[in-house]
Amino acid sequence: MYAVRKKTIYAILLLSPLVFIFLSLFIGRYHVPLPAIVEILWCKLTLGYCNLPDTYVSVVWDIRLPRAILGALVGGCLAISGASFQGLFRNPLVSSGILGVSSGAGFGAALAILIFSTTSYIYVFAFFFGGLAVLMSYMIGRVYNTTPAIMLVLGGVIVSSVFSALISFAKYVADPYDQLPAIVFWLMGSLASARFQDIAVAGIPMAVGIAGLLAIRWRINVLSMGDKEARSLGINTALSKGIVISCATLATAGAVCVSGIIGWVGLVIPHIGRMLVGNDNRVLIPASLSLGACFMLLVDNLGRVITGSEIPLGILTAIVGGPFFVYLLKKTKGGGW
Amino acid sequence: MYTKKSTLALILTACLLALLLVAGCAQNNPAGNEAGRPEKQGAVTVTDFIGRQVAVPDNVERIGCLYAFSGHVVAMLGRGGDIVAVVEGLKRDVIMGELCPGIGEALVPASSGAVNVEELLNARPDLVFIRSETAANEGEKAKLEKTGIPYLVVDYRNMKEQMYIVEMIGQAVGEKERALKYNEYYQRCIDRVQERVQNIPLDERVRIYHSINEATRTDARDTLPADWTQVVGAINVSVNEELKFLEDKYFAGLEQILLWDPEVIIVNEAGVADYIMTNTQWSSLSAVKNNKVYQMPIGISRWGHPGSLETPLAILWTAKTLYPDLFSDIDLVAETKYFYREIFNYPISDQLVAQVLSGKGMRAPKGKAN
Repeated sequence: MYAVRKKTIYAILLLSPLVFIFLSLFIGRYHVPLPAIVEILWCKLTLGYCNLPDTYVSVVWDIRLPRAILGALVGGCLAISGASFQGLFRNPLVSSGILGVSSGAGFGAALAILIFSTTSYIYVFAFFFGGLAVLMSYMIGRVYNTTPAIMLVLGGVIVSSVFSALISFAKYVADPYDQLPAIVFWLMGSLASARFQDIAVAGIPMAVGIAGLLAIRWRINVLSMGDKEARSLGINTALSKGIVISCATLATAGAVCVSGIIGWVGLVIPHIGRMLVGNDNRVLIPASLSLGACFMLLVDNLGRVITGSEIPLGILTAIVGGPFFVYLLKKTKGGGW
Repeated sequence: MYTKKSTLALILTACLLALLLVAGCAQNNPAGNEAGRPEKQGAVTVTDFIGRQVAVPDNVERIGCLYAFSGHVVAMLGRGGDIVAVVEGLKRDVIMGELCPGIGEALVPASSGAVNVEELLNARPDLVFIRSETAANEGEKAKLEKTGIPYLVVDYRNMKEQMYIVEMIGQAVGEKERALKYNEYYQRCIDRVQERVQNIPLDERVRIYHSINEATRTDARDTLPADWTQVVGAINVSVNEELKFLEDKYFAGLEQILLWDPEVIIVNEAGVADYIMTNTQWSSLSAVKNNKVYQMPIGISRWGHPGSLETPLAILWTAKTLYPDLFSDIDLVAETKYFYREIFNYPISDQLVAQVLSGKGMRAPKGKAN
């Protein structure tokens, strides 16, 4: 009975982002008849020839589909890394945004644009500074041991505001003609011009991060019991923590590289996941991945539907996420789990 | 003990005061050299973009250009050598470097609309041109007013206002004649094009999409490009449409562009044409299929850009590009030469004319500012 239920949950988790991606294909300014959309998908997937206007094919296959896939990946990455950080630090109030990973990655990217003209170092820098930000937040959080949950959040606030300041500084010293637009464009992020090539490039760090977190998700369960307990169960805590942080940072850096700094998804989605599937990270981690993907697609589609000109993603996620964070603070009273 | 402490405090305070005084003197020194600063009498009164009446000394010798466009105009009027304060971008134009040999040493007291007043004072300008974003900020305005340096707001939303502003700058720096010469040429270009395109029926007018710097950045209504693209007898697809507004710029969505399906795409940044031609997302557009994506020329600025002085040339170029048969007699090489040689007094070489028209390599690479 339990096994059947588990299978159903996994099936739903796997299918729902696909359904959302499929539905995203129907939304946009350009009117494509519904049967045409299905036909295009069918003939593209079977590698056949589409006997339809080029523009329809372009809109559905080259514009909407890559955008939807990338959006799902970004949402999934932010949510899964949020869930992992929450489990790892035994703290319901953290996420990659709160811990400063996003700002750190953003700064790394800006720095890479400043130093090198090519964009190939962006990911390396984003990853490095994202990781640095978590470590700094963690160290600040340990300064004061009485209220670890709040201190970690505070550490994150400090680190992310320092990195935001550094981002502003990078923008300030950047060349206003070439570098500044590149940095601004990059930090603002947008799924609007996503192409399959972008998925190929940005998808690698995101996929590696996701795969890593999925593979060691049971260890997060153990780690979330505390260091002593984890060690007594024979786990190399330092190594496991290192892997979790690296994977979560990699996933976040990949997401930031695609769509800029989008707050709150990583914080809110794992909690919704917990309401649905409970505290067990073995289920929660994949659930967060799936929910994050669906949520991002929902927000992106909303942003496209509400006004003719698109509303940037970060605005909508913050409007939903901010109040939710207050609710969490009240519910947890700033303490631990 | 107590007295000892207070004596120490006293000495420290004295030291601090002395330091401040010295620092103050150092600041005052350059001002002291300004004995020859022009008096207010004999000043010309000009009206700037936001309608302020400003008395400008009639022998302006040091000019601050905190808006790239004003720098181009001052250089055109033959006063490029008197520019003492600029915005960073002005240092990177190839032609600007030749017109204003000293521009490399000019100070940069403004960045993204905010003015560093102390640096501006160091440059000791007699007159400063600023952009309207700066003037819209009360704090910036108050700061500028405290310096006592007269400042003029430079901006425009269409060709008429652009011509007025050029005239205003000419008046302010005492080069009104040359400014009027530019405006005369400007008007002549408009007239020459207008008289031929006005008979084209609406349904035969070419529908164009104008990409500014980035592929999806384009023209909104009430902007200079919206005005000049209309004069050349084109239908600019993005004007009057709902666009995404981010950081002072307007962007179109990819699906919007597909929906408009422009017949011709003109781009003003090197490389963007290739991007559009090779990107599958753009491949279904008629302009791409018919190979009608054109790179616009780049001279002192990108022709046709919202902040460009070369609007008259952009008009001629675009008219000829869209309606080659109507404008077969217009010789762009000759027009370009005339514009830079006669109006700028800049002996442009034939080779550079070709380079301008190709739109390639007109901006100094990073780190090699003039």
